Amino acid sequence: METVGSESQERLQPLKQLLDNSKGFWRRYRKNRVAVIGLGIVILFFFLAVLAAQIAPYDPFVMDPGSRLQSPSVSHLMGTDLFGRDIFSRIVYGTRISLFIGFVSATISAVIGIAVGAISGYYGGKLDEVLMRAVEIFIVIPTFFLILIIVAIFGGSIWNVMAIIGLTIWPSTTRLVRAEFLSTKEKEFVTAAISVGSKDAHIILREILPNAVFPAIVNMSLQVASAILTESSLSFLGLGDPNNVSWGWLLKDALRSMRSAWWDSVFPGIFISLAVISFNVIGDGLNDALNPYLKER
Amino acid sequence: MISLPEPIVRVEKLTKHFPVQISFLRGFRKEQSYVHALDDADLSILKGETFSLVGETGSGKTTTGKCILRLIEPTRGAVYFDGVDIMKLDKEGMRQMRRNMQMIFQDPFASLNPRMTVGDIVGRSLENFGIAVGKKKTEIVLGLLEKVGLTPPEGLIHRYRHEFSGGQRQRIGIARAIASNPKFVVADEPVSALDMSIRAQILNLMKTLRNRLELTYLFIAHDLSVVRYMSDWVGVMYLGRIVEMARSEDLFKSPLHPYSEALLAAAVDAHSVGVRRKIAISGEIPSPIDLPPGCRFQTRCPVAKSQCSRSEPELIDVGKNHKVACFPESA
Amino acid sequence: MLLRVNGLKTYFYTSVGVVKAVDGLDFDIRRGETVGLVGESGSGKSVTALSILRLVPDPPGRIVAGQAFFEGTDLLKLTEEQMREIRGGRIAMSFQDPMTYLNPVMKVGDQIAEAIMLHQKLVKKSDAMEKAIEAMTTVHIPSPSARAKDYPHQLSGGMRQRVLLAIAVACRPKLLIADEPTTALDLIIQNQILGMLEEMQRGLELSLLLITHDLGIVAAVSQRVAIMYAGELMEFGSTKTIFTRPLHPYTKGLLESLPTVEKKEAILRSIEGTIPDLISPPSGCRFHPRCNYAMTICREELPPTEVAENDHVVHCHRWDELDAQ
Repeated sequence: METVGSESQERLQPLKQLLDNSKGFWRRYRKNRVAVIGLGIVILFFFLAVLAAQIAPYDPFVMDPGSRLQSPSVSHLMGTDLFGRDIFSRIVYGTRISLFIGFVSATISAVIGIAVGAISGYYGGKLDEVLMRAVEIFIVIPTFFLILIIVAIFGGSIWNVMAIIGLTIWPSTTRLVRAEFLSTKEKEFVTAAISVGSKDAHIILREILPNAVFPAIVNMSLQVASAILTESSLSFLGLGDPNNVSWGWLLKDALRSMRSAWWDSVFPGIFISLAVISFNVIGDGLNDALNPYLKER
Repeated sequence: MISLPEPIVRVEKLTKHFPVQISFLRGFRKEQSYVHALDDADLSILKGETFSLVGETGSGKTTTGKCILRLIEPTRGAVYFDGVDIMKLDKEGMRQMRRNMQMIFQDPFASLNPRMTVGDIVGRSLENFGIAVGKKKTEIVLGLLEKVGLTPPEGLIHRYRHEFSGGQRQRIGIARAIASNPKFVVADEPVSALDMSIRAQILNLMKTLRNRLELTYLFIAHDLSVVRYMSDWVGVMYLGRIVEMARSEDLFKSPLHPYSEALLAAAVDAHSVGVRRKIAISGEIPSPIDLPPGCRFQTRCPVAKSQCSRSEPELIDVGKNHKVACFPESA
Repeated sequence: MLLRVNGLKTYFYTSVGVVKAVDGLDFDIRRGETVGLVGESGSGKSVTALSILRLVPDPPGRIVAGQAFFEGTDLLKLTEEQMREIRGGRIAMSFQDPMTYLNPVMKVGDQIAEAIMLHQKLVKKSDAMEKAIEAMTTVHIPSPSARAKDYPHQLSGGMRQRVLLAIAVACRPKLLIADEPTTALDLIIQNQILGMLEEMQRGLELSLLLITHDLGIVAAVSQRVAIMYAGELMEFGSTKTIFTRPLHPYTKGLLESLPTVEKKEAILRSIEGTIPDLISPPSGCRFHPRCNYAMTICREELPPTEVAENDHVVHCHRWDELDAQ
């Protein structure tokens, strides 16, 4: 009689396989020093976001008129702003917002982008033509201005901003996924899947997608960077969400004091830049690490 | 009078034309050019037999195999499986029909999904056709792997394609093909990509399975020695047409078409040392696009006559079911 | 003796281990003869060819031992400069996939002419072109003057292989190493090219080292054949003798497992097992795990070089026993 233990062993096998493959992945990723640093920075940001309450020394909203515009000191590591609020604490809490916006936007874009790319690439024909024309329209229109206009109309709440960014930047992912689908579709193992009676949904999701999704993953990292930058710009222009203070919003608040108090704007700027650069180099690292899989096909 | 048994597979006037990609400048011409990959193929295969299609590049043999299984959509023609014209089936009907007609692919590596385990690959048809799921499916898959000589199967079921050798991968491909208990299997060059010392293993496995599971094979190959070992019937193809069709031994002992003769003469064999026959065929296979009128072999045929450039010869039975598409000498 | 290879060992030093691709190979080629070098994947046959011409990529490959005497000179001890004189000039090589070795943006006539100018030290392009057209005629390319203006992608596979061979023999080498010259080609074209190689040999007093996995080809065209397996030589001698009365169990097993066009075999006897991993190959005789006649000594010791009658070399501990049966 089979014991429960052996059956769960059997179920663990695919997981163990995944881990084995992962070891190769990390080895290749580690070769790119900069990408490792980028990943380190992002992990650091992640901790800042999660443990904000523990790390931030002050309440980010509390105003202290007595301590206005103080330059960085021991008590205020990054100085204070126009209203006496501790900038370091504001940045720590802002990490939550900025990262959240970045990831959610990129996820929305990835889901739509992969879905459209997969269907367009797999079915081809008129559907593909129509979808590709739509994609081309998005690519031709300057994305930022499109987002700007829509946010100006519908308001800059955090949910609006994430949705709008996600709904505007998916076409680049679509093109990548579609290209992969077009080439993978012709491979012999797909013909084999058809010959054993697999249905379209299975072929798209389980035969082709696991092989075609890697460029989309790399692109997603780049899109997190792009979303953070876009949101920062929107907030800087005043179109962000006053209830959810992101790094960009900090920049907006620092406008008036930019000449006199450099710390007000430089520190948020550094964080934005670090985040954007980090996600970009992570994208590079992912590309290198995933490449042997791409070659193995 | 004894009525002949209905063939398990019967193909009528099967044709496949591929539109040619026109370069930008030539696109201004009105007519579309086509590659005549397959033209009006007729053949029948009886249950339990191995029918081989031989030919060189561009002969249309692989296209025929894939068209018969509708893995490529034929341009026209009928394919009867157990009396049912599968060309008339809708998408779901055809999908269900695939249970009975499977394929072994030429490239054992490329025909396995790099991201799926061997167990998933082999068991796919069991799920697709509602034959078995979960534990029952795993049992059947283990049995299949044993049947094709991959033992012990428990250790192999969670592995991926890159962990196997070429011969093992082809066994996996065979296991996948027989999983749904098909009656008919198209084997597309099943041993061409394998090392010599492995070929006999796979050929013998295919023969054993044929006997045990009562399979019928359409065997596509370019290696004549393999064809002679495996086949009951042989069809020789050239530029999309069947030019000769006969019982295997009849073809090998007395080929009638000049092309078949040339092929047999050109075949090199480890068992006939020092023999390299000179053949009268010069030149190369012409382009399959926009073929000139008449017999397709006329440009290289040593016995071509004026009639050959005027009309294409039909495949005619000259006795004992030996068919040739060639104008007789006397004409 | 045109070429004599002694104890050739070529290893590849990779991150996953040392691949002993060729591990002690001896054979020779006489003037004007065709020697076949036959083996399956991993046998080391292509690496042997690259080793003789010192074309093994270094790193990760290295010729660690052996000599290759060509007309008395050990090629493995020459400088790169000296090798360049030999390559293309006195020893030429052709490859399986012509597209990889032909320049896609240069007309084929020009490519042949370029080789001629390099090795025959001709100065005038027109002289070289004349010789190029001559070479194309030798390899039976129809309408050579017209074809000379074509680019490689405009030619068929058979034509490209002929162009490659034309480049190879344009400089009248003494030895042509042809690596799988007909593998990618159709049967009838293969027949034509094999015939052409025989013709070229007679006309140019050329020796041919024919590397292939196809036993049928070597049976048809070579006078002597060397059978390799997993980097080692199994058997070497006259083709007729080896194929009609093989002494090594590997050769015997192969011949028994291959079907023939001559008749319908009832059953083929297959060789069990698979080709070994060259990083940790089997100890002793590398064929022993798959050999029906293996004994303890086969696992422990490398078989010595034995010579049967007619200069028939065999590497097997039990060859004389098995032959007597």
